[in-house]
Amino acid sequence: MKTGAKILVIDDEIQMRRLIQRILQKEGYTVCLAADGKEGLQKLLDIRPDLILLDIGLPDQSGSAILQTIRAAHTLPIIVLTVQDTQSDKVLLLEAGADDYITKPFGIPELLARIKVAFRHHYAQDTASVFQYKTLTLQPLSRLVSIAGVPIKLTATEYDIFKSLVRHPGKLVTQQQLLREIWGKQSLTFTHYLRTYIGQLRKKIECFPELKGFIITEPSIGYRLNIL
Amino acid sequence: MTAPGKLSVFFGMAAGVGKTYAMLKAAKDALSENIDVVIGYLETHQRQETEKMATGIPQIPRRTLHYRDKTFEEMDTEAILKRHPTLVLVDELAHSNIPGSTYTKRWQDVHAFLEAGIDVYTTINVQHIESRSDDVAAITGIEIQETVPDVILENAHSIQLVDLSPEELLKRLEEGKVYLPEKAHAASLHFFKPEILMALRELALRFTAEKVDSERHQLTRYYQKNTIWNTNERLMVAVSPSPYSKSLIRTARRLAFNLNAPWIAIYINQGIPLTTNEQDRLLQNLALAQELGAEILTTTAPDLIPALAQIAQENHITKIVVGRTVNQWWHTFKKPLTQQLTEQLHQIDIYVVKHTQKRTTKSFPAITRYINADWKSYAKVFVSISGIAILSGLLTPMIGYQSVGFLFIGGVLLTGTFTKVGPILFSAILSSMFWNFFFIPPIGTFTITHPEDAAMCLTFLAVAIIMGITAHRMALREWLLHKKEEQTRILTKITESITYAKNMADCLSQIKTHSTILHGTFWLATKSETLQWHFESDKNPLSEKEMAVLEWVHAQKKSAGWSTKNLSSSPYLYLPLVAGEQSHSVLIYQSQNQQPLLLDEQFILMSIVQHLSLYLHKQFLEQQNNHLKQQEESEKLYGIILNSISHELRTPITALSGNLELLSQNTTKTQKPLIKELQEAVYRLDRIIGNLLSFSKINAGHLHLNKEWIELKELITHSIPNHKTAAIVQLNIPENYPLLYGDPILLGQVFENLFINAIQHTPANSTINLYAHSKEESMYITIEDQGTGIPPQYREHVFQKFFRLPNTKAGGIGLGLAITKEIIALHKGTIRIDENPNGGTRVEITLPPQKLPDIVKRQ
Repeated sequence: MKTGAKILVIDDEIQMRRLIQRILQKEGYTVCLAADGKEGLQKLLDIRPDLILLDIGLPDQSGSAILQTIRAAHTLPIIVLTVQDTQSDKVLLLEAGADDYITKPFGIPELLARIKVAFRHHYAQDTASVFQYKTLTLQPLSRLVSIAGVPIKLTATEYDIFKSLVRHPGKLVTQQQLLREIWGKQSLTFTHYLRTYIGQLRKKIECFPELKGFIITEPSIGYRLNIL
Repeated sequence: MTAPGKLSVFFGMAAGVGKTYAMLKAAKDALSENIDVVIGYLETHQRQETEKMATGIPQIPRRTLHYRDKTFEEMDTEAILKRHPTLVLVDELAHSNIPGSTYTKRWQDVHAFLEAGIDVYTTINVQHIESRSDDVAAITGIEIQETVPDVILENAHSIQLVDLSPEELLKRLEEGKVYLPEKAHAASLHFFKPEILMALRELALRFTAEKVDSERHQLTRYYQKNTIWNTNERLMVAVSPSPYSKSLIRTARRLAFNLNAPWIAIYINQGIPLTTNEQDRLLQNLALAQELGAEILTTTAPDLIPALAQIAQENHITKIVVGRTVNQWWHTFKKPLTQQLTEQLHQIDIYVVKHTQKRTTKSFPAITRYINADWKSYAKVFVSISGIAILSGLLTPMIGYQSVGFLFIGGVLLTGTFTKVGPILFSAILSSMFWNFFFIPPIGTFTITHPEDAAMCLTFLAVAIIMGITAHRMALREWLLHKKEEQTRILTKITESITYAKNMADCLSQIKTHSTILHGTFWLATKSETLQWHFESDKNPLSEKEMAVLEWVHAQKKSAGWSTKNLSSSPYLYLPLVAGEQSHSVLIYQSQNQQPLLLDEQFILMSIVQHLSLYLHKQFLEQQNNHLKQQEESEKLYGIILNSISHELRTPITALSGNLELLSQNTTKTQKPLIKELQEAVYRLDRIIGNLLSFSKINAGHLHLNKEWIELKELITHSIPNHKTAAIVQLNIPENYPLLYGDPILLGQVFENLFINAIQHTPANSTINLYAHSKEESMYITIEDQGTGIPPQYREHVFQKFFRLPNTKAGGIGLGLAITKEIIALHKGTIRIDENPNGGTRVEITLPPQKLPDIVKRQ
């Protein structure tokens, strides 16, 4: 993603705002700051940012309320800043329209990686084209996955799961989303299906040293591909 | 609460069919299946076959009791309950225990076993079944004393009919294979006649068939999920002090059972005075009805039929069971009861039941009851009639001897208002004699010369008797009304005092002032949460033995003591107050005169118990509600605090660590170690905060599992601390290792804590090994390090909160392992620390088997 992109940071803590500003400016992003939800929404209209970093513990509005307000009119990527609480809260935020979340305290590389992924995913071109990462290629038309030129044998379900992850490269895909896409609405609680198939996928893909750790699990929430 | 035990009944038509043998055979089968069987009580009658069958089954020694200078052997119920086998054999269910036993009847012992969750095998003959005892008596002519309530058999898990043809049985009898008790020899011989055995056999077969039929009914009802009663039938039977009431009650019960309908037993107090005997019998009859499962109602009304009609309508009764009244000569002018009933109740089926026994002449006591009155009322009558005679003597010159007759009628009327029928008759006869003797000429003799005087004298007698009795009836009616009113008043007062009482003590004292009708005192005993008994008054009036009774009542939730079937030797009556499946209070009643409770008293006492129970239940619900509210509130508050704490603490830590990271990117060589130090400190702080938060969550019971299926390798890879570790973690997890069902976040925390501990205590560049294997679906995960190890004496303590090994490096506050253990415990697993055979520490986690879901292939 181009540098110089505008990022809006909405956080009530001055220290956090300053820290994130420092980190992002160092990377060449343009940063604007807002101290609460009201100011944040105002700035969103005024400066039209390319991405929002949103703290969910704002004093004036709840996280999901502000997410809904933004999502009603905007499609820009939103990354939510949260403290380690229940996983179900995070799932709710993702369902409410957040693209990703990051848990405090976080490391700088983690924050930058999430921002990059969000940008890449959001501004990526059509997803029907061939996907390539290191030695791995996925050809949607022939439903073929190969590593270093050698085709990998995947079952239909394994392929569909992998394809779903590839369609949102690097982005967190929730378990619910995967279950809904692969097995349909009635199977939302069958998380053990996913575990088994992801396990099999890992065995088939991550045995190549360059692809070790390619599929990342976010416990209780979902999966993402490590494409950085 | 344990599930109740199952009762299997070996059931036969008569002694000698081989019930005990069949029971022992079944017990042997159970024994061979390694079921814990004991003999509670066995009557082999020295028969070799049976004794041989019993060998090998452990026996609980009988208890020896002394009663009236004789020694008796009884089943040791306490010992069996203490031993708590899976299955106990109890022969002869209908046996009556000798006085001094905990229960009066053996079936009560069996009931206690069942409630304690012990299965029971038992034997019984058809003649001992309560509802069949009349039939048996009719067949054999022998009155059966020892009976078992039908409810016990209805709740039996299985009834096995042990059948033998009468010929076979008689053959066995001839061969001496059937034991007959000495004293009952003659009676028993009467039993063993082909025609009688045939009838008994039919009875036994029919009983079994009925039981099967009712089970089928229940099953279909269960599947159809209908209302409790699949018929709309409701039965009613009127209970009286008459001995025939018993057979009436049994008939009603059988009918109700076959119709699968609820039934009501009603007693209508018509104000007829009852003798002690009758009172006793009435209470017995009501108790029988209750035992057989009837709802008991009592009411006061002078006229039987309208009262019956009213109650039948109020309770939506569809069928009434009445006995056939034997018409006495004085009933000639009255319509029979059954006819009156049919005329009054058009909507209701009326069953008229035959008398099974011949009526022994009881008409005499029926009359004596009316005449029976103490000599005082006769004296009073005599005095008042004499007074009237003197007055009449003075008035005769003025009004004539004929008019004086009216004065006498007035006198008889007057006596009618305050005495019973006997004195009324006496006053009528006395007046007619006085009038005749002193006033009707010739005066001084009983001779009457004028025919009109004779007619008048006879008319006078008739009028006096009729008027007197009418006056008496009116007075009686009034008295009944008054009594009913009084009862209602007392009940209202009791209800009022309970509704408006500030507390239990206030409530009790109010009730006491209002329940003057009771010939006794009562007080409340309450068990506190510390399991101490608190009595209403400061001193405890109960002896040690009585305390045991109190404990029994509290535990069994059944009334006991004086005038009951349980532990009846106690001088007090214990009534448990059951408030919503709980019973923490017992009402203790002490009768002043030790006379059986009158019906009214019983009614009032039961009302008090019911109302107090309701009051306690209300209190309990209120408490529970308050408690829930408090809990909800605290949970809410807790959530808010926890959230803000984690937010407040985490934000500055993020600022610290983030800025330090920025700083570390361009520093001089001298600054670098300082920054590294700071970063480590921040990392430690973050971990401590995390642990403290988890710990407080566990402590407050707010830690809930969000279980899902987890792949172990994935979970553990995630839990290896990602800051630069000095040691290498080696995972040894087999391929195809089963999925784990648990909370991924919390289990992740477990492994993270364990790894951090291992890393902290191992030298740099050593290996930490993790092994996982599963056996019979249980999971065993071990982590072995090559560190300093934990001395054996501390291995148990490391899981305690805030425990730190002596001489360890600073860092951590001793919560990690406590949290770990708690989380594993929440997953119903165990964690253990051992010595690693290769030096260092070995931690073993065991997780219980989990049912692995089938992976459904997608179509």
